Amino acid sequence: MSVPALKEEALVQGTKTYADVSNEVCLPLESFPTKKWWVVFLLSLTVMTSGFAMIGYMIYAGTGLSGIQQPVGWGMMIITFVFWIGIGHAGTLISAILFLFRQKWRTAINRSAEAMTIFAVMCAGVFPLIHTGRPWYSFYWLFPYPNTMGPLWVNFRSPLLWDVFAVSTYFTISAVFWYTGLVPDIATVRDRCVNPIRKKIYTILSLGWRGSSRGWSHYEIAYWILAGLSTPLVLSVHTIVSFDFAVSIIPGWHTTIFPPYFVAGAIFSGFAMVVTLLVIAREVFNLKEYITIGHLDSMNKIILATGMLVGLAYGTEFFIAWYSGVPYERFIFVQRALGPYAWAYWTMITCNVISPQFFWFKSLRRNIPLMFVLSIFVNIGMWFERFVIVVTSLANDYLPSSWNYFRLSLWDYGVLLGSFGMFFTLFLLFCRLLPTISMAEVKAIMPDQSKTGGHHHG
Amino acid sequence: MSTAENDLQKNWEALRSAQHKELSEGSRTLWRTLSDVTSSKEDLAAERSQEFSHQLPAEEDAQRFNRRRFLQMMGASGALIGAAGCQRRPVDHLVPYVHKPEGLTYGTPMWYSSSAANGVGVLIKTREGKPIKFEGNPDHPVTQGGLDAHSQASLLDLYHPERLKTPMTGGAELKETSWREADTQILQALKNAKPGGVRLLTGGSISPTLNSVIQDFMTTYRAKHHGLNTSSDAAILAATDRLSGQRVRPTYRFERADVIVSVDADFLGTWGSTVENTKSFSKRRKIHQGDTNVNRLFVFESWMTNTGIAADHRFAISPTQQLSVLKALIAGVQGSTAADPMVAEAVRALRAARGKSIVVAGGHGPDAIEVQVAALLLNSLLGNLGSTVDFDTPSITGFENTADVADLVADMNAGKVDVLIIHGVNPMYSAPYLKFEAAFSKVPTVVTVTSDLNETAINSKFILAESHFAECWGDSEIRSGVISIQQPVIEPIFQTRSFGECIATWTTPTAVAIDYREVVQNYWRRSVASGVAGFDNWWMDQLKVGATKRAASKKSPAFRWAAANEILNSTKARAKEDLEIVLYTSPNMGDGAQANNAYMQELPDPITKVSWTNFVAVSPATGEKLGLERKTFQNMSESHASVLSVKVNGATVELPAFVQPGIADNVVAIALGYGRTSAGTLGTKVGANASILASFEKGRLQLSGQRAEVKKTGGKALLASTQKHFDLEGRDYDILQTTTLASFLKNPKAAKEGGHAVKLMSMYSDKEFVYPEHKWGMAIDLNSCTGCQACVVACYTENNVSVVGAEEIAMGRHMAWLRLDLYYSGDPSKPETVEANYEPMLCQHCDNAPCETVCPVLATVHSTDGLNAMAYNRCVGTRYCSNNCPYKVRRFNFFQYSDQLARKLDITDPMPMMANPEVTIRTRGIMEKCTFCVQRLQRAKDDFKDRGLRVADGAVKTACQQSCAADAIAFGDLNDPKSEVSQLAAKAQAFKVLDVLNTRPNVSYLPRIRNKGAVES
Repeated sequence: MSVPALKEEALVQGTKTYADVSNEVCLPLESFPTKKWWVVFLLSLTVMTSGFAMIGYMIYAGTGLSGIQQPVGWGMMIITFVFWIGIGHAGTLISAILFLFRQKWRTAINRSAEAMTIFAVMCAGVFPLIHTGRPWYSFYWLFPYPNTMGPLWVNFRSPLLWDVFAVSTYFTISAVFWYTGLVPDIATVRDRCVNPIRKKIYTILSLGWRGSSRGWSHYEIAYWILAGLSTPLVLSVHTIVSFDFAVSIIPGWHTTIFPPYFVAGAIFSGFAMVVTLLVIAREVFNLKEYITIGHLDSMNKIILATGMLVGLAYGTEFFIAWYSGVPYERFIFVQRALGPYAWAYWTMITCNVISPQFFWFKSLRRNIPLMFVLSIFVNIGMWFERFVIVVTSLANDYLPSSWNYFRLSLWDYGVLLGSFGMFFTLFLLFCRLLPTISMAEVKAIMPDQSKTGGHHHG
Repeated sequence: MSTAENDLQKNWEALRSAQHKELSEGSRTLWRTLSDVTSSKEDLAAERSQEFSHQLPAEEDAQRFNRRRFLQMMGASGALIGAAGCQRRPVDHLVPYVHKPEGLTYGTPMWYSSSAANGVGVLIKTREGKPIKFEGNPDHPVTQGGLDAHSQASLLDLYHPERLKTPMTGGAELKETSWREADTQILQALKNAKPGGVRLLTGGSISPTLNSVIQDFMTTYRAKHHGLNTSSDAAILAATDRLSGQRVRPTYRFERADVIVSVDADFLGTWGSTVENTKSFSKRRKIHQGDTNVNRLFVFESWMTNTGIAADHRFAISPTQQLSVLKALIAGVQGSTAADPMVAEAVRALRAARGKSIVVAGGHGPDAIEVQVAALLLNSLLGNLGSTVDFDTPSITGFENTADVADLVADMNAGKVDVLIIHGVNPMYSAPYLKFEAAFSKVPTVVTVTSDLNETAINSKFILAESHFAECWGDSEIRSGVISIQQPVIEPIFQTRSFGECIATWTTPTAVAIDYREVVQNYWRRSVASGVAGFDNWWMDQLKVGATKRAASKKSPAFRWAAANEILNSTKARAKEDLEIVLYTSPNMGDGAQANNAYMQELPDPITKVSWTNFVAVSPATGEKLGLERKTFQNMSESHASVLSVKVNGATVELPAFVQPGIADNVVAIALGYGRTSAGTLGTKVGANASILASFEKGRLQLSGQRAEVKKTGGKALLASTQKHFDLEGRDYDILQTTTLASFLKNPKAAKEGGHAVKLMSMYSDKEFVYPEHKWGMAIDLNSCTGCQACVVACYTENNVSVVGAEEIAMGRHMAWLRLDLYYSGDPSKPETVEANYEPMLCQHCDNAPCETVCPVLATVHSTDGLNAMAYNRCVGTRYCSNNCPYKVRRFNFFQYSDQLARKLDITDPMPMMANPEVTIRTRGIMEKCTFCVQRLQRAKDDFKDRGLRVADGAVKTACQQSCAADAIAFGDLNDPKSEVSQLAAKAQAFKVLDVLNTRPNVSYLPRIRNKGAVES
């Protein structure tokens, strides 16, 4: 007899058969998109297109359309780059690390979380390129390739170069990992296809998956290996992104706490973004029984934990700034809290440290409207965290004669919005074209139908 | 073998017969095409028969596009393309050196000595016949290599696309005319003028030849010469006139003075000959070069000037107090115990330095002439006349013999003037108080000789395009006996003439165009004929050296000091107004003549760092009364400032406010020289013309001391500034070290006290920083720097630095490679405690450069001679280097800034000719910064290498160093322990900015040392 109080919540609710899973998960792929989907999709597409048009004009006219200046040489672009890279952490964390730790509740959310990761990294990837003065060179001069410009190589000492490697590696592994996980499900979709063209496409995409035991065996080995490969990357990417700041000599940047602090912040924001998306997706695509309130509860716990980590990092930074005795460090931290950018700093603290505290309470962790609002708060807070780091340190560094106040330009707002447009456009397309829930894995964690006769908890 | 051969033969025949059969019978066993199989025999046969029987297409078959047609079309369209390209192009002459000019090598600059418009000795660098840089002439006895920002920037005046290019006739409509036509008509007018009806109105003419030409002209036409003197010298001339009957402006020998007292005289900024003043003043500030016998400067001023910043003791007074301060000094020097504690220290210092002190007083305040009388009397009481105040070799102002301009206006209104010839002044703009507008209409012929279509010119009948000083012959006599020949280095680019040429031409009976070189030569042949063996040799020496001395025309005036006392006693002390106006000459804009010069507009005001406008400066206390914020040195400049309206004598000016610590509390200060209404695209409507607030009563111009009414309009205006924060935030030790002379003499490291002088252990080995040949370095003497910013403009012209305009500057995007940071100390609400210090900031060329490690593409790297180099064409513009530069000296091209000026002006020619061909024009999206003038270093290294020598110390000068009149910059090889820069950098008091970061800069700074006297205040 099991003790009822310790009984785990069912990972899939309702009385589902395997066929129900396939039917329900594949439904959005096999029916004509709803009006709601079209409205959101066209809106996202418009925002994305206008964002890209603005980027195009910026490349034509000059980086000066952005609000960047002296001494704040990095602005919205780098802030948003770090923001999206951070968002892109949750997916791989959920699929790889939780997989290795055998957290079965990941199965319902890992697919969409991974998709989100890939789209977020794609959004992030746009920014380092377009923020440069000459994007037409930077997209290939940053790679160490044999060239005709003499013995000209890239600077392996520059953290920006490490970024190039870290982000591109992360994107590649994440994409391969995601795709590998997709193969059995694509095969399912293929097998259900009626339309021949559609069938052809999914046939190609499913890489000849037959579902044989041998296939499954190889597949699972490959998945384990990829999970093992991805795990260190989850930690390395944001560590290296944080080196952009930590390796410099600017007060407020030059700190060794940055790698763990950035990774914690990244997971924090990534999970918040997953919550935001899943709350919508389970509603729109009727997946409430797969993405259960229990899943969201677990994620909110992680948000609470990482939010506390981030809060600890903020506190530690202040302490170390004081403890170091370096006047420049002390000054910059006092400036952050009390200076011209105090509004940004307190927005960050409110959103990142105070707002997750609600998740101490189980009822609030399971309150859909609240968690939706809080997850958006967390993402606003995390954008501002990067704003505070990038802008305040540069605006008030060593020589007071250079100090200046930084403002985003209209172009900055447009491009920032455009990246969200791109993210949602890709995500919406994903929801229509690929199974948003890993059917194969969900089926594996469902109660054995042969024993229960298709009834849950028989 | 034969069987095999037979088999082969058999097979071959079988194949042939089968083919034959197929052809004759149409057999289908072997087929070539699908139609062979499917078609009927007849069809096949018909088709086969047609196989090679197609007729060539007939000529008539015109609908079809055939080969011939194609060729026809191609020929026709080719011809049309050719025809379309036949537009008429202007003829350019590309003349190769068939015969190489003597001494000229393509790609090698040629240097010519000359004289700038203001008489400062210049060397003009030319490349392939184009002047590309003006530098100070070190052989000029007075200016000694210094060159002011105005003369540096006048390179752009030469190539300015909006220069006047041809003579024009004015009136209802501007029309181009020829010189011939203009000469004829002007000559006619001159001849027809009634006696006394010909007048000249000029600024100060310091050219001996021009003055002699004018003299001839005046004799010929019985003309009268008036001078419009808005400079500070006017009152000095009037004062010496009152006391001695001679108008003479003494030379102030600052280099001989131990104690200098300035009452409202910004002699390091706008008062007198500033290059000369700076040169002689800074000679006595060379503590770091080992000369501790330094001068001591007391400044009593109403607003903040460079002189006030250079002061050892600065006192903020209101303009109405000027005379009483001088009277108190006189009383003190005469022995009475000074009542005013403010002057007590100055009196003590002056009494201890009899014969070795100078009292100078400024411009156009209330009782300006009485103020100058008092200053003269004080100098006389101190025994300074003849030693520091030199009347034997006086300075030449050009106004010694000119008649008053007020008389001219009266005569014009009375209809007595038929022909008025104007040159060098713009009375319609700069002297609205003279009310020229009405008087102009009563003069039938107004001739203006000018280089731009200014406010006066557009109201003239003849507008004659004037040559730039680099285009025409001339000369100058900046100080009596110090002469410099102005030699042209380029043919006039447009149809222009110098003023002297015009006057000399009109003096000839038929207005034959004359060769002005002959006029200049003839003048000097007459003038120096005695005692010089051969004139030609003398002349050639002149042109080579650029300046010489001749006997000064001794005219030491005999002063009647009793009259001086009488004047002073009869002048009542003025009551202090609640708010007094101060209209000061802007160090950048001067009289406004260079308003259309982008360099001078872009150059920030030295004190407030505001560019592209003037503003209303008030003290924090006054600002508070007016409802303005800001009582600290922090965030002093905002991109949009509240607009104040200032009303004086019924006239109102509206300008953005600037809360400026250090200004006297009851003073509102506005710069003159802005608000031009006809200055070209760049200079028109920049700021507001404050000269409408000036008052003019009884022939006396008064620019300060009147009662002003000020209120906020509620509006906001753009205020673009290059520095916003003026507080060191307690970082003095790391950034800008200062001390007093007494402390320094006790301990040379006094400036470093109180800092965290802990030498931290470095993880880096010194072996990393070895430079086998040269290691270029710089030492900047903060004690000598006066903040004149000539170096900044020199850097702009030498390095093709882009002008970006007010909006970009307001964004924080100015492009100056070298900037002058200014930091205040003291209590901003107490003007008398406010002190400020300059710090020139440029790339520090760190050995351990933080910019270099972070560039992902290796666009900034270290050179083997210790330079931090930029590879522009490799830069992709991540701006990481700039972020990581603790000195923030890197400048990013956010847009195509090199075209910015051209875009604003619409027309660009001949501006591109101005660019220094040795320096790359930067494209957009890349970073740039100070290179230590690497192009000069390379040339010097090459030159010395050719001679098998090592570059000698002092042989190569950076552009900033060259133009520095205060000799505050030393540059050279740090590997050479004997070089000037090594010696300075090795001084105990030398410091490096942000040394704590271990960036190992190659620029050393020497602290600012204030001479507060024996007693520390």
